[in-house]
Amino acid sequence: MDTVRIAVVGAGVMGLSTAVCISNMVPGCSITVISDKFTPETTSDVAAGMLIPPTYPDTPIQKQKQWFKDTFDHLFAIVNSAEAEDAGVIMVSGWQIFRSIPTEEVPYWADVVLGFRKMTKDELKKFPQHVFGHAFTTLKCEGPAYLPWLQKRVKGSRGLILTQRIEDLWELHPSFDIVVNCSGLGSRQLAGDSKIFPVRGQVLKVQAPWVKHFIRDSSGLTYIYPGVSNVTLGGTRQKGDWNLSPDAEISKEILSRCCALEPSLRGAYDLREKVGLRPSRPGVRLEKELLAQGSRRLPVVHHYGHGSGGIAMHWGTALEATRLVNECVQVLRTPAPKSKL
Amino acid sequence: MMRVVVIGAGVIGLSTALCIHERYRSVLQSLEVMVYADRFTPLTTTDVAAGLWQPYLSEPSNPQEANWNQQTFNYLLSLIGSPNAANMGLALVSGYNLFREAVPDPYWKDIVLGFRKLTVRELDMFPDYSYGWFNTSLILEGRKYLQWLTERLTERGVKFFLRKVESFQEVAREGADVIINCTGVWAGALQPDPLLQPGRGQIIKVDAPWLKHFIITHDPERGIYKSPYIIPGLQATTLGGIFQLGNWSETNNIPDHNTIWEGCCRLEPTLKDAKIIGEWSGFRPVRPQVRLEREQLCFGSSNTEGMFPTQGSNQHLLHWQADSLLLNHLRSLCPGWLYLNK
Repeated sequence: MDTVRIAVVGAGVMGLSTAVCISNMVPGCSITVISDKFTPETTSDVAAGMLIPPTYPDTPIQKQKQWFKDTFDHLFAIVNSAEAEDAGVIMVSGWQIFRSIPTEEVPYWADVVLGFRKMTKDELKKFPQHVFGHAFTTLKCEGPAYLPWLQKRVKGSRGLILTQRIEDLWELHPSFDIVVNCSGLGSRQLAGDSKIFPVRGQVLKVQAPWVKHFIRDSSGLTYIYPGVSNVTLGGTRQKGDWNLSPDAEISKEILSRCCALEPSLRGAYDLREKVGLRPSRPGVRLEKELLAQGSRRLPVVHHYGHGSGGIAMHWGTALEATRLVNECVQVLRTPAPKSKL
Repeated sequence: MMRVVVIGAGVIGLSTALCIHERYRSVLQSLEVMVYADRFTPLTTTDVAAGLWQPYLSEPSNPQEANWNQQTFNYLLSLIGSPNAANMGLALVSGYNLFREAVPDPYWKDIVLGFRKLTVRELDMFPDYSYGWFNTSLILEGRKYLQWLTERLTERGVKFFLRKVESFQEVAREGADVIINCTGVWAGALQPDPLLQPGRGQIIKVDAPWLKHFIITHDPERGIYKSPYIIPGLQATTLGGIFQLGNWSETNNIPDHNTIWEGCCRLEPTLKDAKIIGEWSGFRPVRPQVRLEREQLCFGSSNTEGMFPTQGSNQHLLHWQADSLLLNHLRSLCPGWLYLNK
């Protein structure tokens, strides 16, 4: 059986976790991760990494729930192991608060997180502008630790990691048999996908170690996410904005919104501004495509477009991407005259 | 001129001094409040405590203590929304109480926030335990709080004196009208109290910023605080599990260190990577009931009122309320104060 040569384009959370999944689940492959950017310079490094999933309008709820559950279970196993600190995964409890009672009082992911319940009246007193809330315990998975941890796993399974900017997926032919495209916003060019667009997010990473709970306004615009060594304060959702430079006015405004929810943040110190561009799409693109040019064929598995739900959904979608890769491998290994893709 | 002398500068002494000054400064013509202590922060028992608000599981023999606990919690909770909360050493913290078998809910379940039982998935995280609670409570970190109280008292002109008081008489002779004995575990030196004993504790403080929850285990056979506990503070995390009644040794010892370390690492394996910041021993001032009462002391021709708040290991919990009771006592004294002048 010949080794199937797989190239994974992109080294954010999608590229690296897919590479690890493939090495775990698909026998007889060699894996090469190719990217122009690596941690700590990827979008995944800016993300707070809270496991509170968004809702993708174009994806059936059951599927989203499965992706979230797979990711939660995977990270929950890590957080309960001695690897937790290396992998940058922690447990954190807190509240999601609403200014008006939502039509759906219990979200689809309520039984995936731990201890989900509605906030009591006494708990809501802390947030006088809000009338309803969820209290639960979830996980936080931090890019700057998780990505290096994944990279170690890739190398541990004899995967290669290459720094290179790919301008066209055909560059990977014929050196590779299958391409897994995890290039996020890069797919606008690499896959000619006009459905993917940036949603700019600016955050402040601050020192406020006394903050032990997350607080998220249900709009998703204002949030306080305590992490291992800093607290992420956010944020913004600026559609179509590609600007990666922080805006000082926006930083002031974020701090002000967060202090309204947690006044002790006035004492936060060592404030650092960060910007990330969420790779947004009406639905995650998770499908096979057979590129054809003349007599050349290049099977591609697309795995990108998670928007604000990258960390929250990554393992579930990586598992599905791996199944698709496996299908491609089976086709390559089937001694049939024509490919059925 | 009314002179009130508070003996002791732990959480009870300093909060009592502040309470009295806040309530009576405007009422009394001239009120002088002084604090005498032979130990100030960071050398008090309060400085060693993790500072988590959580009473004992069983109801106190004096029901008034339950009220004090509640009032203290509510008072601190009202300060949580202040921008100064962290400067005071105050923060909300959630976490787990773990048991090996089902137990009745504690009497304080409606005082803390969001009290509930643990779900099966949560219990799976703790293989040695089969039952438990989750709730949100408060941390009031001793050192920061004492620093904050000291600043507030200093602003108000309250003076501090480093001295070892040998007797109430010496203090009365210097002109004290009211003496408040907040000497904690050492109260017996000023007035014998066979009910008061040290509940020696030893704790290890580590740097483990990834831990956001407290975890307190319970072993009814061994007794309270003899089972591992992990309590994250505002910066460092406290590891403990030692409670030795009658042990006056103020030095850390290795067997206790090992008990704490092994117990806590078993509970939370990631602690193996935690850096140890320091280790301390302290004496919980244990008593079957908090002593809060007044006593008239007669030294020669002068009368002095003594007041004695001393309590068990949950001193943080009770302090604010012990003070209110104190103030009720003082209030009732007011008409009689005229004849108290020496």
